[in-house]
Amino acid sequence: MPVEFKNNTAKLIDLVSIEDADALFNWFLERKKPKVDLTELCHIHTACLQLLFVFKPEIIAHPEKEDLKYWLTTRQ
Amino acid sequence: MSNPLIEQFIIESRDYLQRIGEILIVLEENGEDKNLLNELFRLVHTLKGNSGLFDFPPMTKLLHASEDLMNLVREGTIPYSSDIADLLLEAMDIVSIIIDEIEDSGSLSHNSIQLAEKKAKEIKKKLLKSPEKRKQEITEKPQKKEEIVEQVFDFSVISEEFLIKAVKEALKGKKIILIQYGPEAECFYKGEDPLYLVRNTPELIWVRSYLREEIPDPSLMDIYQCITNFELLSSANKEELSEHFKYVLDQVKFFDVEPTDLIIPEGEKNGGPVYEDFVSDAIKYLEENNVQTFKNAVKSLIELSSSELYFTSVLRWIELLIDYLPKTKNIIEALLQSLETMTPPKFGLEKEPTLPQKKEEKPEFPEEFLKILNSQKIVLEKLKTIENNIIKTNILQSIISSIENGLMSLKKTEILNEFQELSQKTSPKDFKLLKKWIETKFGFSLPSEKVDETVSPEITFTSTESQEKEVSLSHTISKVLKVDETKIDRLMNLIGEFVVAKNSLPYLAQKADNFYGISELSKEIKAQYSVLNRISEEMQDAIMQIRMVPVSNVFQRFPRLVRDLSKKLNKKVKLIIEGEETEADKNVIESLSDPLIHIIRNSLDHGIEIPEERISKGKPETGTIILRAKHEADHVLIEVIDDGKGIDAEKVKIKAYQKGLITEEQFEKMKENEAINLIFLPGFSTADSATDLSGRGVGMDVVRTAVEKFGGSVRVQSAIDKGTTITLSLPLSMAVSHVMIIESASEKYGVPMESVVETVRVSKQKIKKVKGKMTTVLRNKIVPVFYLNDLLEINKPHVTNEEGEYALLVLSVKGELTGIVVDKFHETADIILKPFTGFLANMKVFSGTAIMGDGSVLLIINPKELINASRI
Repeated sequence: MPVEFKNNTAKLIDLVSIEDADALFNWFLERKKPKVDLTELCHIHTACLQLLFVFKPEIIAHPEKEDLKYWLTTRQ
Repeated sequence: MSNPLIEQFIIESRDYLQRIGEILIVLEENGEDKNLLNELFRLVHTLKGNSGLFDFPPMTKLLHASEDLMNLVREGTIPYSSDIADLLLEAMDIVSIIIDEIEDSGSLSHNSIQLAEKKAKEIKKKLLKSPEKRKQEITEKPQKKEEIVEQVFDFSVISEEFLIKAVKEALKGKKIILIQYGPEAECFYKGEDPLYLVRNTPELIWVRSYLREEIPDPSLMDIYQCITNFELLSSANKEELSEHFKYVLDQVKFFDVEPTDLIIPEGEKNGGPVYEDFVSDAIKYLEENNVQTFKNAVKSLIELSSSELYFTSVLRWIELLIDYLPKTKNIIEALLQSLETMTPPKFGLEKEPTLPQKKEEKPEFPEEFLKILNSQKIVLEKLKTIENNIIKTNILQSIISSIENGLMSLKKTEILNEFQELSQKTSPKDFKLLKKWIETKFGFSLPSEKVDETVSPEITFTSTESQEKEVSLSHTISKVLKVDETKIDRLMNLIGEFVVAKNSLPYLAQKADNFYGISELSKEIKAQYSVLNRISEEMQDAIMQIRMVPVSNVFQRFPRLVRDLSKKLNKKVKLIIEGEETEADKNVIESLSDPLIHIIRNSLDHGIEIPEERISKGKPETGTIILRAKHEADHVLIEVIDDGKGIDAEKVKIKAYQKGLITEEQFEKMKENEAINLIFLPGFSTADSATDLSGRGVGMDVVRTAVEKFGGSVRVQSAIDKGTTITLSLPLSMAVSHVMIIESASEKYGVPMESVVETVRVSKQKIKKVKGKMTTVLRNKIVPVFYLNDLLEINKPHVTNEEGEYALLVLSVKGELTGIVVDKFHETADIILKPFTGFLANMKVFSGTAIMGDGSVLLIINPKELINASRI
């Protein structure tokens, strides 16, 4: 499973695909203050990326991948 | 074929090919339709991509070449023409052959490999013919875009680190390109991941992604709609980028970026020491071309100053630019000047005000207002197309008042005054000023819709609407479940078995009553049976529904057939298809295919005249063939109507007589209508089509045989010089047959109910021999009589009832009454007919078998063949 949910934190691992969008979406809906850990994230599908934009979770750790780190911080 | 992936590939490929063929033909009439061109391109691209999953290189190669050609058409580099349509249609035909081969053997034949290679080469040749135009196109584009790049993008959002990186690339001689990518909302359904595409952009320098629309309530959002936009900077060349984004070119816009656009010093302007000395020194170094000293001075100052300062930022830029002196001299000077004034550098007059102004003005207008403005602007643009002046004035007034109201509510008195002055000058004939005012005043700061608009100026407002429609259409299509036909057939067989198993219950009930003497149990079984019966009937009905397909499945190939044939024959023909949504059982639909090809080919070949002939007859130059499908009771009717020369009954009659197909007596007596039907005679089809026989005649017996095989019929109506109508009538479904059970020589047989006219008892004496043939008189009509036992070669006499009467089954065969003597009549039954296979398939007297509720096998008689057997 590329997404591990623990309490208020979702850990995104390796490749988060569009298949995970639904689970992620529902999880966000249920959490008041969601947090995400992106350390091990290699790629995230646009559908999931835009969920991060919409729900604006607290990013507790940025991806190790340089370019991806940039993705998640340069949004308007 | 055991690989499910290949199975899926074949099913999908056929769908794609079908749609590609349709679009290619529609495009011939409407070559400008950008949406269709885009769809076409995507289909071919997907097909190519899919083929790449398997090891069929010739197919991939051919599709690749076709895709490139389509891309040129899509870009408008070469116009869509009938030649291109031919080429692409032929290519798709070859792909279709390849798909057939893959299905049959899992590999490609040498022949098709050669065909594919040859066609790919041919297409590539076509591609090479247009390189000049292509180059021209590529160089033309950026010039147009350059003017507006600053209006669509604010480079100050990019952090200095990336700006420096980009400028460095530019100084090395590379072109920096800004890419705005607005993926279409439905792109996820097409398997696209825009982020993935963007991340792999060649020579990517900087990128950002953002939501293009506000989501007021996240819980209501559609997570499968893409609402993210991307903006990126790359130093790759335009061709490379076009190649990278080629599948989404309609959603991407490229802008050339000048290095000076990117040199934006940032940081705290106040604080820090005064650097006037440095500026004057620096100018001196520059004049003296004392690069090294200048560089050292800059470096040491950077180290000394806080990196947060505007001053330091300017220094960092200068440090970068020094290495590229002297060409960067002007820029450095401008930067130094900005240090003195503490205002953004001015690299040239025309560029001066845009960037900083943008930043300041943005918050002045709330998004809602800008949205309103944008929509008013669109209305203004559309106003040009309206001719009625009164309407124009009204619309214009409403536009003016809505903008006025907006400005008033925002309390922007200055702009309001300006606007009111302008609106007085505006008239229905001259509203350009107003448009220009909106554009210059607000144009750059309009929200995302505005960006979208500038991003693809070629797409008009209406076409984006239809694109949305198309998208939603593909959305619904994706909800259709595609199932292999064999699975449905299996379901069909299973329900057949279930019906049989269910039918055994009445026997069981009977046994319980008669044999075991438990009538209560018998009753209960019967009650259960009625429940099962209802369910099974519903199930059967549901499965029949699954098997129903629209006739369009067969019709869709005819536009192509008509197009190709009419070209070949130098005739002008318009094909009108009606009622293509009419549904019937899949087998019925498939059985229609061959007969219809024959009929349409005949209509084109023998029916429709050449244009000159048509004109001389006072008919329109273009002939019309109407292909119409409709339901009539439990039959589906297919009509092929042409306005050609019709069938000359006299000539048909003479021809048939000459061929010895009819006797002289028949020739004399035959009515016109009957004569026309002679074209269905088997011998007639072999008529030399090279003779000047005006009418149809090739392969019509094939049509009748095929249609009758499926329990259908054919009818022809024709009038000389007015045209011909051929009507095929086929049963809606062939899965369940209603049969009457009869008994002969202690064996039970089924006879299809549709041919049974009546059942009568006829006494032995009433059957008389006339000229060696048995006949009887039934309601004042002489009816030929056959003995079933004779026909089936059973060496037993028929039994009569106590009154010495035979059981006579009166059938209607080919429209004539025929009596068949049997032993006994039984009930009727719904059966599922299983045709014979293997060695028994040649036994035409029976159309197949059915299993009865008690487990016995019922042979189903084919009345037509049965009577034919009597004649041999």
